[in-house]
Amino acid sequence: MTYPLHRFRFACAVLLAGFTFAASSTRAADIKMPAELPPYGPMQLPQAPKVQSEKLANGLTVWLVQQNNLPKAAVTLTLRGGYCADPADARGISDLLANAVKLGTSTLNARQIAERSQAAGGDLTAEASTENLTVSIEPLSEHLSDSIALLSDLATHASFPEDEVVLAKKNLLSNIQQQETQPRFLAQRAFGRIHYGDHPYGVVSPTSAVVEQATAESLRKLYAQTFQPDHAVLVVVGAFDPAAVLAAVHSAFDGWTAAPAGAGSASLAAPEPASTPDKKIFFVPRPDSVQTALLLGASAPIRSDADYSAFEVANAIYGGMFGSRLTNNIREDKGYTYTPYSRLTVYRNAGVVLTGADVRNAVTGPAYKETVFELNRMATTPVSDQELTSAKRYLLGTLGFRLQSRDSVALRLSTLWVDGLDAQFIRKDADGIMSSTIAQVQQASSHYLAPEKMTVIAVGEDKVVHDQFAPFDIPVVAAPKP
Amino acid sequence: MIRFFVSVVLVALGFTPARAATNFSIPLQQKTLPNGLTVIVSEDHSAPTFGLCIAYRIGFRLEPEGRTGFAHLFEHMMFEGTPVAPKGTLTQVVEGGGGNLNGDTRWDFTEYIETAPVSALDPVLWLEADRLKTLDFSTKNLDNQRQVVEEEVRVNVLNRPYGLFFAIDLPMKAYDTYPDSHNFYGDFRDLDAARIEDVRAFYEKYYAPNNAVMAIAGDVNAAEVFAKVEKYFASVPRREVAPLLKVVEKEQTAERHAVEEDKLAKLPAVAIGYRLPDRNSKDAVVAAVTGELLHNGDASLLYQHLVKEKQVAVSVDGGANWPLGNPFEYNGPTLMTTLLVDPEGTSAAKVLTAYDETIQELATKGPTAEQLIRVQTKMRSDWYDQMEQPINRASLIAHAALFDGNAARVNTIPADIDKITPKEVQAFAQKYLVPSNRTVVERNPVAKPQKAGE
Repeated sequence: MTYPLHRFRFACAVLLAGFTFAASSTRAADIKMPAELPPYGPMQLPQAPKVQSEKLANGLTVWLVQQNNLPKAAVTLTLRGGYCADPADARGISDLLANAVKLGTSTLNARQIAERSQAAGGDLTAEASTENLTVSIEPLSEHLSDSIALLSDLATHASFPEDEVVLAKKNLLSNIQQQETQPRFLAQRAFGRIHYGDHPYGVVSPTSAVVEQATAESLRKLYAQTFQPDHAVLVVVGAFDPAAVLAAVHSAFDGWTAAPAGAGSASLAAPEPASTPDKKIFFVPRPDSVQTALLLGASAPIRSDADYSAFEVANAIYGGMFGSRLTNNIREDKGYTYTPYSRLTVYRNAGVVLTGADVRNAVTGPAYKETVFELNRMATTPVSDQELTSAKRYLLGTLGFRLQSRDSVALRLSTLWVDGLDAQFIRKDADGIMSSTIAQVQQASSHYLAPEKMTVIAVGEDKVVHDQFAPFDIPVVAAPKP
Repeated sequence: MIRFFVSVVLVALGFTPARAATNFSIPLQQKTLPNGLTVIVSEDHSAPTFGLCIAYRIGFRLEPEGRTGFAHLFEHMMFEGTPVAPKGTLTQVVEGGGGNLNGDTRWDFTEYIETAPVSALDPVLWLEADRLKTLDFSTKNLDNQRQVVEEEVRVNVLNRPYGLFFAIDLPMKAYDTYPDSHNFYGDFRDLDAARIEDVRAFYEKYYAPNNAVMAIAGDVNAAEVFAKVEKYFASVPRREVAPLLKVVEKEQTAERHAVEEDKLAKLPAVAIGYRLPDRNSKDAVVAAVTGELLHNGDASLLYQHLVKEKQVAVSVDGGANWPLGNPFEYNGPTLMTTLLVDPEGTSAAKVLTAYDETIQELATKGPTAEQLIRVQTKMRSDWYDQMEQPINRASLIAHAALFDGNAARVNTIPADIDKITPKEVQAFAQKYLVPSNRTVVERNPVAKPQKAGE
């Protein structure tokens, strides 16, 4: 995962007010609607996008989705690989590979590549994550063919010039330094290490040592392993003439030849399930913090599990929506935090749920206590009818919103492809959400949200964390080194 | 009604940039209610959802002295319920209708946004009208949201490396009058001093239908939306609204400079802010284009010179009216801001020398025609992005109506951008991008023996 921590372009989001509200007491019953409030109309289930699929002779999968309301397109080339395919002694180095792949080809230098994507109206981005590496651009439709050709050039002729690699390493090292100043990054890195041990699912970033060891030559080797047509999907979403786009794809990508079988790594065995977590608080020091970043995490289902959709509903009710129990409690009732969250992350062979909040130092202990209270309430008591209905509609609506923008459709389809799924999963997930029952939600909650299954991380001031956890009689121990 | 279509022209482009051939516009229909509420609808039937933005002509600039941060704290209170729809109802209705909601506060506006499947449009409109009639002025809820906002300030400022100094400290240094030069997120002293009477007074002063624009985009029928809005909003009374402040800043005659220490950051940073011309000046569009030319993406002049050639920065961000809005949504003094984060141990003097080389070259030679066309193409493409999702489109439309009195400006901005010439950019750089018109704030890590995270 890449953490866009210094991209202050998004800083404008800081003023987003929060969102949530619920009954004035957190234990309160359902909200009574105003008598004059007009009712909802009938809600449509989100439709899976219509995908035109083709496979080139070299094994490259091509998915086209037409969305004609704006003269733009999103083009995404996604390759299986990422941290899971990195050499065991260089986990995370795909971040550098992604940064460096757009710094030169046999015919273009870095500046020419940047200018050519700008001329098409797009930002060229390359990003590595746990199980894949993605190169994408969102040009004006009129420049779509050229953008496809540009992606093909990067996929087949990246050159990794020595001086560019030296600079890319320096800048990635600076980026890691910046990440290490961010509480949530420190919490997630510690969680990954504790929960997954040495398995690459626990990697959130390369270490500085790993980056320092990389060379142009080692990147070229990893590039050759990763950039294989039969490990890749090209997704194009937007306003275009499909026949013309297919012609452009053939012209750009037909010459890409697959390496002999066995190169790269498409799938890893499932990780060892996390051992039952120690009853400990893992502490990461961050001197001068005025808040503690609390993170509780545990294993969660994957998309093919029968209880996946029911767990999505459970997570929304617990902490995933603004009207969730966690937000009502520690934000809207007690005012401990601005940022309560609970998120499900799904890899191919494992899922994880992470919940937490940034809380002022003085309420670190109470915020932990209330979080555990809400997890336990989910695990041991049924949700209400209103909670179930709201969460279902919220999740279905959210599924629909993700299908509204070109880049999110392209990302979603790419992620499904990496998991061996396709667009039909979206409809299946919607059906699963709709049919979830209170009993299924409670079963999923007791399975995944029980507080005793959670690994607990606290990032902040040494004395604050130790003092605040003292009343709980749980040992506070140093988190393992990354 | 204007139907729109997209003409898709697929041309294999060579390496010579050409001006975009696409001319795309969105349909707009507008109506003003007798109570002064302006309503604008943009139909887009590509997905069964809608986005709504109701934007009020009130922002940080108008918050009272002694109440820094109040416009934003007030925004939180708009989510705290009314006598008939108490705290929790709005979220329950929007999320339970399959939607999302939010709000945000900027220098010159405060907006409330929702997006949901169209099946939730009626109850959402009803609730927007309801919170425009009165609020539940609850001291308990104010105390709660004061705590939430103070946590927000901690997470985004006090516990965060750099603490948004380029957005908060830079304008405070660059301007002299209270409206333009205060901490918009709020000093805790001022947030603590806020009383429920302040909430009531602020509401009565600014939250009137005649001080708002509501835009709705998506899978709706304009005539039906106007009928619904009439039904739900007609009973909201027009109220007298205080005229906008006319603040005159003292002319800047010399560079301003400040140095700050940062306990949480590891790398030094520097922010540079140039005062921009009035938004109604023809130079305002040149400012937008120049901001993009300098800052946007790996092809930008500053990225190429500072990150790639001189290697004195690890990242470049910035632009006109950045980071609290796009270059067209403000209504008072604003800056073209640059934020540079630099490699460990780089002195600000060294970074600024390289920075000035880029600015000097622009002022001396101007951009090439090709550079400018690339930037204009990228700006057009980014502008269309903002019209993609109904919630963003509604925001864009509402802001244009609020600040230009003309929602249709969203359809002409790409052409206005295209008209800018290299000579105009060069002249702009010569006139505005000069040291006597700028403020520089350095932000340096405090040297300390122990490293965080280890």
